[in-house]
Amino acid sequence: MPVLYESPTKPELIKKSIKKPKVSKLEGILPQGGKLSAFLVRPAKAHFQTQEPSEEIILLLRRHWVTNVRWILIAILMLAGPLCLHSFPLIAFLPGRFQIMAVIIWYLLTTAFIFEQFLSWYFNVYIVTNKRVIDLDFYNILYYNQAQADLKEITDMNVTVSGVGRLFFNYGDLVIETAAEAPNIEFSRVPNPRKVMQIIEKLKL
Amino acid sequence: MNMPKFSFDQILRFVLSLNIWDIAKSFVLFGILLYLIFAFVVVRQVNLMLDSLEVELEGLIKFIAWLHLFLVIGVLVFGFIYL
Repeated sequence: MPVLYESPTKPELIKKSIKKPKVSKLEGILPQGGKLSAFLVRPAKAHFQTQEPSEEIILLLRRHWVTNVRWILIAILMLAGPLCLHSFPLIAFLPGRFQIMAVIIWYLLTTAFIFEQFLSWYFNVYIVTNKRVIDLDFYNILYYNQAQADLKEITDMNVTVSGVGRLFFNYGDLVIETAAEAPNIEFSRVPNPRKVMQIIEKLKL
Repeated sequence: MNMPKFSFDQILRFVLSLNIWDIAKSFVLFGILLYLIFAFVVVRQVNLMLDSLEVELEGLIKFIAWLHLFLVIGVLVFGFIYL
């Protein structure tokens, strides 16, 4: 008898249609970190200017928070400065209205100092995407620099964690050497540099 | 051109008639004016930074930059009136 209809659900066809799932490079790299974190993994609300549509931020790193302690202490001293004027009347020779103005200007300068230091920390970031590594630098309010390297161009990585403070708080430098003519990229004073290196290694594969 | 001529005596009398605190006031106001330019630069810089990197605290950072600028303008006006 002639075969009028042949079912497409033959075992061989089913086998061919099932593809083996690809092992994602991002497997095991789970989102982590808050708004003011120095170590953000796959941040949901971060985007940089030159980011391509198919590019995903895997790591967004800032200097370890311990590196901010120095300027925070200076800021506290600056905030407390005018309170010392009762004990040390340095501006007592000025008329009352000038004394008040001096205190206002002092607090204005303190505000600017705190805000600038915070901006410097918050926007000096190191980004690792699924395609490249980027070092975004705003050294001061007038200087901006962006260095980047493709993951494929990375030839070697070196982690340096030296000193008691760095060992205790687990932060250090990660130097990324590239095959390109561009200079090496240095992630300076980032938290958990070994983990960063492991993630980059994983992404390179 | 006819330039007004001042004698040394006139100049000396003018200088001696100046109030030291008026001079101080003009210096203070000039300083705040320079600071105002800095505050404008900060607002501009914040915008540039946020263009380069969009982050979660974008709104708050912009607000602080503008607040700082308006504070400086306020201090400048206060200085003009109060000093």
